[in-house]
Amino acid sequence: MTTRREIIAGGLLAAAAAFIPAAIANAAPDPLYGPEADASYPIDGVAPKGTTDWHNHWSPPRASALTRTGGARSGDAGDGLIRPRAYSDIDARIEHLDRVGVERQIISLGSGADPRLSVDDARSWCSVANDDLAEVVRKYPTRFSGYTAIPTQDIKFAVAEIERGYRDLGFIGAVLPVGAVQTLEGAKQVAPVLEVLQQHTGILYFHSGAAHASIKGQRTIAAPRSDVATMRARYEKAASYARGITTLTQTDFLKPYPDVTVILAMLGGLAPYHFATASGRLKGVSGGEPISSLRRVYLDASTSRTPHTLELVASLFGADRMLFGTDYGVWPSIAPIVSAVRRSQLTEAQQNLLFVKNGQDLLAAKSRRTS
Amino acid sequence: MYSRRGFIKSVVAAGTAAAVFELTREAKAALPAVTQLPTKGAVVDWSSYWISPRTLAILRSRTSAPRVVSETADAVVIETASGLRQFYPTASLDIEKRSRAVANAGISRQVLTFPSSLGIDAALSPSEAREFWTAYNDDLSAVVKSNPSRWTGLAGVTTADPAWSATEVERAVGKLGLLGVSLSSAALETLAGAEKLRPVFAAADKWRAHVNVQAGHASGALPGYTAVAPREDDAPELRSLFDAGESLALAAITLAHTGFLDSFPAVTIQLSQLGGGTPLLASLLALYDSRDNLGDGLGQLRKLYYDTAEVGGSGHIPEFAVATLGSERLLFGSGYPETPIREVWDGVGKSSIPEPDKRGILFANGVTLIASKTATLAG
Repeated sequence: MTTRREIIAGGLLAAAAAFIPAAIANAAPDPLYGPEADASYPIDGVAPKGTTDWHNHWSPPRASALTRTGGARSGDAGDGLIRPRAYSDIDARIEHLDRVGVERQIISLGSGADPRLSVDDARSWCSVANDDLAEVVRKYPTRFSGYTAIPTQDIKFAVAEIERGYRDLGFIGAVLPVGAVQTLEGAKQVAPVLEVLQQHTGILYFHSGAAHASIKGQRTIAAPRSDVATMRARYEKAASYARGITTLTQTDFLKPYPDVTVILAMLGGLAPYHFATASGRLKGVSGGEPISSLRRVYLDASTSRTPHTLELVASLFGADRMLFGTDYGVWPSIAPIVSAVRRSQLTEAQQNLLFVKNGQDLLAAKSRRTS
Repeated sequence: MYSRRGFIKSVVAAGTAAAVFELTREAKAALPAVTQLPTKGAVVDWSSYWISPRTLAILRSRTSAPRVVSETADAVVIETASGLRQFYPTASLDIEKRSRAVANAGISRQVLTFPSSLGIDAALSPSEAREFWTAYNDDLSAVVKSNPSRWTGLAGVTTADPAWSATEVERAVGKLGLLGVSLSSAALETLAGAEKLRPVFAAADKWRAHVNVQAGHASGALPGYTAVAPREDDAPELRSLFDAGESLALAAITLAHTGFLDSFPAVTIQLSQLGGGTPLLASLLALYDSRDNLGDGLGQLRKLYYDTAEVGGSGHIPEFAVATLGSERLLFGSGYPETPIREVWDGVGKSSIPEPDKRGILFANGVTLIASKTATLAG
């Protein structure tokens, strides 16, 4: 059984850290990435009115206390990166959102429970973390919405927690690590999550990270540190999205869940690139181009520091399948993403879809169905 | 990521899905071998496949894959080690006919390699492989010497016997007049795998040779990544294609970032298919390098060459590669005859890549590299 002491080594975002095995313990002393970064980061672009940020993280205080000892740095989630103050300070977060023009954030608590936790600890963490997040959502209903954090260690509990998230906490969906859907076989193990979300016409958000080891089909990184493990881990993280999107869009897995909205982070990692390569060479699940099936999912723009990635995704998936996302909390500012979108060759109309309309339409549709 | 065995299993498991892939290839084989290209200057095709007469004879005599399974006047059908069937137009195998076709396509020079997609490196025993590659390299040498202004050759070697392969590289470059050697990406997915091939790289460095890395299987004796074989209902053909791209990118990481090549400064490296997912990796490095203080990872990637073979005809991928890797290290490569030359040419030519970069990729970069290597070898 994993102890809480072991959790400390992994921390809240250990799922993501599984893809960053060489913890970046000696992170750059660059002030732009320090705890005061959100105050010092240059703002060279403001998002349009009505912008929703679909990818960001926040440290739930009581749940984080479960995983922290007195020696841990505030804002350190175990992957060695120094978080901005807004990672745990809601007031500082709102101040930053106002500076960059973001109206609402949909908060995800990493990828859910650390996959290395024992079943009991994972349940406890999720319960407390979701209660923490619910308080924020209740206090600032016009600024924040939330996804239910669930453990891939215990899918039955996960289903119950999603139900609680809808019934008692005001959440709009759930978050899973993309490691859970690397293959069809693994995805079928988490199918009960889709079933309950289908009942609620909910949102399933996939974030970077490994699922519990009992979920099949996950590939392991065995590279030693001497073999540029961090570099390989970054690539593997992007590749894990391509495998996940293949499962979600090129098999029949999602067919029974037509009312579940599926969103993936990181602009789908390698998926747009791989599918562009496959275009014209292979047939997809529907018998046509594989690309035609990609529109079943939405992608958030959280790694869009470089405009050409946005342009590639827009050309393959369509701008109406892109959402604004920032990874804020892990990254110190929203401004670079705003700037990248502005600098891209996306038209004004496409940018408006990404920043505002797609997100507002999704929220409105979910709100209508819930009511 | 996949192991050689895993990759083979996955493709075999593809079953009917693989047939889709075969049909695609069959359709392409039925097309005119090449189409006319615009002529603006000398064009070097850095990625093309040729099966030599003696290696074709060996493949005809084999009773297990890889082997010839049927032949017509127009095409030879070869079952790969993965169970796929590859179609090779006879016009691409007959060197005189190929020369005319290539010239008609506007290609000045082709760099010939054996197609790694057949899986020879993974399937043959060391003794079989030594015989196979000796025959191939001799045949290739004869072709290059018969028309050195048209053909350049890269030797084949076996990753199952690095010591012999090192000797063969010395023979191929030093005596046979070949430019270098072609290696399978799976052999270089990890630093441990690359270290096994250190003798081969040492020989290549001694002769200032060129190394082409193709997506493909390698000897099972080399360390690699574990695989999950996809089921028939789990998009196996797409996953196999994506895995091949990952294999190339992992090889790029090994060669660019581990310091392995520091010992071999005279070797030039070319990764096929734009290094698989390497351009996407480059975009991630642009994102992370400054934050994580891990050095100039993007700059390291830009020390390798990447060819345009098999990257689709839409232009999206070459555009992305130029945006992330820059154009200076991109080479035109067609993947002929597995891919029509025109498809790749149009993919670059009709893209939104700025004209100077486009001219570099289609013309200047390849000519400059071949000139530098040829001058080096002659010296």
